Amino acid sequence: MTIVAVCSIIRKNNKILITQRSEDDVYPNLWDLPGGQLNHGEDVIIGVKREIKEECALDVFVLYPIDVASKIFGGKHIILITYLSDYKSGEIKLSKEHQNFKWIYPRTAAKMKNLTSLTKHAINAYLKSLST
Amino acid sequence: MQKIFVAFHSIIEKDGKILVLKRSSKDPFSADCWDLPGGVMNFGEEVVAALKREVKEECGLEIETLSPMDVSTRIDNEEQYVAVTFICEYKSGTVKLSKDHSEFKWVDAKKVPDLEDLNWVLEKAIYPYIEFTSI
Repeated sequence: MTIVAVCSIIRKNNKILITQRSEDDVYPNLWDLPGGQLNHGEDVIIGVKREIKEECALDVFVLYPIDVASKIFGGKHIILITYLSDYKSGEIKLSKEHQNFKWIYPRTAAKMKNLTSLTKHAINAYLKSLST
Repeated sequence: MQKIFVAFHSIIEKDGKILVLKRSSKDPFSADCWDLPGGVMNFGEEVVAALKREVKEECGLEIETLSPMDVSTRIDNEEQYVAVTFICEYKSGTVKLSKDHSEFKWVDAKKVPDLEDLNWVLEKAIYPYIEFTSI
C-alpha cells in the first residue's frame, strides 16, 4: 500500500518550526515537521495547510515543494512531499500527536540527532537550496 | 477501493532547452499530447532511483536530479494520481524513445505553452518553471 504524506518547513524570522512527537505515538519523542497523510482526492497545497492547522493551529503561506523522500514502514510505502511555507498568523497550539515545539535555525536543526529520517532528509534539502 | 499512485516527471535541461515527448496516438489517457519523461513509481522504490529509471526507460538518457518544481494531483473515480515534476540536468546519452512516445524535441521552455495539446502535468509545471528560470 502506498501512502502520500505532506509536511512543511515553516519559516519565521530566519528560523523554522520543528515539533516533538508524543511519547506514545510511532517514533516516540523524535522531532519532525508539521504534516500528515494526504486525504483521498485532496490537493497537496490544501493538504499542507490543513495539516499545519490541525497539528499546530498556524496559518501559513505555502510556497513550493523542496523535497520528496520515501521509506517503507510497517509494510507501507510512504512518500513524503515537503513544502516550504512562510508563517502567516496564529499562536501555536499542539495536537495530541506532539508534546513540544521549537523555532530553530535550520543549520542547527540539521545537526540534531533525534530527528526522524525523513525530517533530516527534508532539512538537508532545504539547506542545499539555500546554498545554490 | 481507493488507491493512490505517485508519478515522477522530469524537466531535463540541456543547453538552455528542455526535452518534451509526444505520447503515442494509442495512449489511453493523453494520446498525441506533449509531456515530460517520467512515470509511476514502483512499490518500495526510492524517489531519485524511480525518476532515473523512468527517464532511462522513456528516453534513454542519464540525468542528475536537482530539485522538485511542482506537484499536481488528479482524481479518476477511486484512483488518485500525485505527479511530482523535478528539474533535472542532462548527464549523458542520446534520446531513444520507447513505444509510449512517437516524437521528441528539445525546446525553449518559453515556447512550450505554444505547443498543441499539453498533458496535464506539463501544462501545470511549465509556468512556474518559466518564471523560475527567467530571473
